[in-house]
Amino acid sequence: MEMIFNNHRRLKRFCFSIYTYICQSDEHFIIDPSNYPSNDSIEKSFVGKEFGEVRSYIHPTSLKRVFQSHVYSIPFPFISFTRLTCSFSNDLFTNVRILVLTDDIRWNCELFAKVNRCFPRLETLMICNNSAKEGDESMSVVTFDRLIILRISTSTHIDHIEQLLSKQYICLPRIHELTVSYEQLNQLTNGFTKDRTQFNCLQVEKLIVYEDFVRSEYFLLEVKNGIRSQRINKK
Amino acid sequence: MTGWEVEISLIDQMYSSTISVTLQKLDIQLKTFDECLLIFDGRFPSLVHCTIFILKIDLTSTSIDNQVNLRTRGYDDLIVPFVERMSNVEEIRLLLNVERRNTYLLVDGNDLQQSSSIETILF
Repeated sequence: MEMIFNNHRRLKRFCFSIYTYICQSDEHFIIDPSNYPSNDSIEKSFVGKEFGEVRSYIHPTSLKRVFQSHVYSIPFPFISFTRLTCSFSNDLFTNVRILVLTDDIRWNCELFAKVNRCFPRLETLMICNNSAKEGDESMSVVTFDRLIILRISTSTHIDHIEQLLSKQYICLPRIHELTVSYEQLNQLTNGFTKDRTQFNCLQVEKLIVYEDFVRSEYFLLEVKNGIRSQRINKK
Repeated sequence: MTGWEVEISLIDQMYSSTISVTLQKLDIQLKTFDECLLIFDGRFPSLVHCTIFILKIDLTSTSIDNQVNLRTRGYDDLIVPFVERMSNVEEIRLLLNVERRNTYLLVDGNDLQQSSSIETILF
């Protein structure tokens, strides 16, 4: 191993996942994007240094003052992968159970198919993206076989909530816990009046919402022994 | 003592004594990086496997000089010396999210090298 491991004579394996977030917060700092390393130069920095196989990618972002990069060992050894963006490497992350997917650029329709393909053992998915979906091509339904927990950040665009919860796009046969904005769920289901079998809500045992809310007339109560629609008088 | 799975008031005791001479595996969540250093200070002489989770490594929470903190970076001054200190380990897994301001330097293969060559007197 190089430098950092000069004294580690017994070291047989070093693996890592290092995400760097750089923010040029000083307003007087003149940003010159050409000063940032390219993905190629980041990858080359690991070559010949006995770090094993390494992946690197730069996160595309709409924020001028922000630069993000992620370098990690392959095979990826950790059970959680945080800060994944749409430009991640096309590898198999078989150890990962928990994935945090955050972005501020538009996702295309194929992203969730790629996530499903690359993270075959995913149990918890947390997503945040306030940009709308890109394009609307018809795609085959993506089934997340093992996903149990889905958390959707409040600032997430309704396009992605629709994509995740509507069976037209994604099937979540084992989903157990759902965190979502009530208002967005209300909007998506047209006040809980749409056919509930169209949505990935039938198996949900635990629904967590961010805000105080007045229950819709047709709010669906999801209970352990099967879902049932209850008509609840408005407060 | 093996198989701790409960929250324990460990750290207060750690400042004064050896916690366990037999413990081989320790999975622990800590609040500060200082506590992390104490684990490898001879308090667990039989430790074979250790997983540490720290939600946020905050420079101001460490015991090194505040004036030094202002002009140095957490990665170089805390993480690198910490890894260097563990000279007997056979395997290291390092999962890090690093935040930096007003710089073009990110953590890559070169940075792992350059950072590690800085002589730090933390330990």
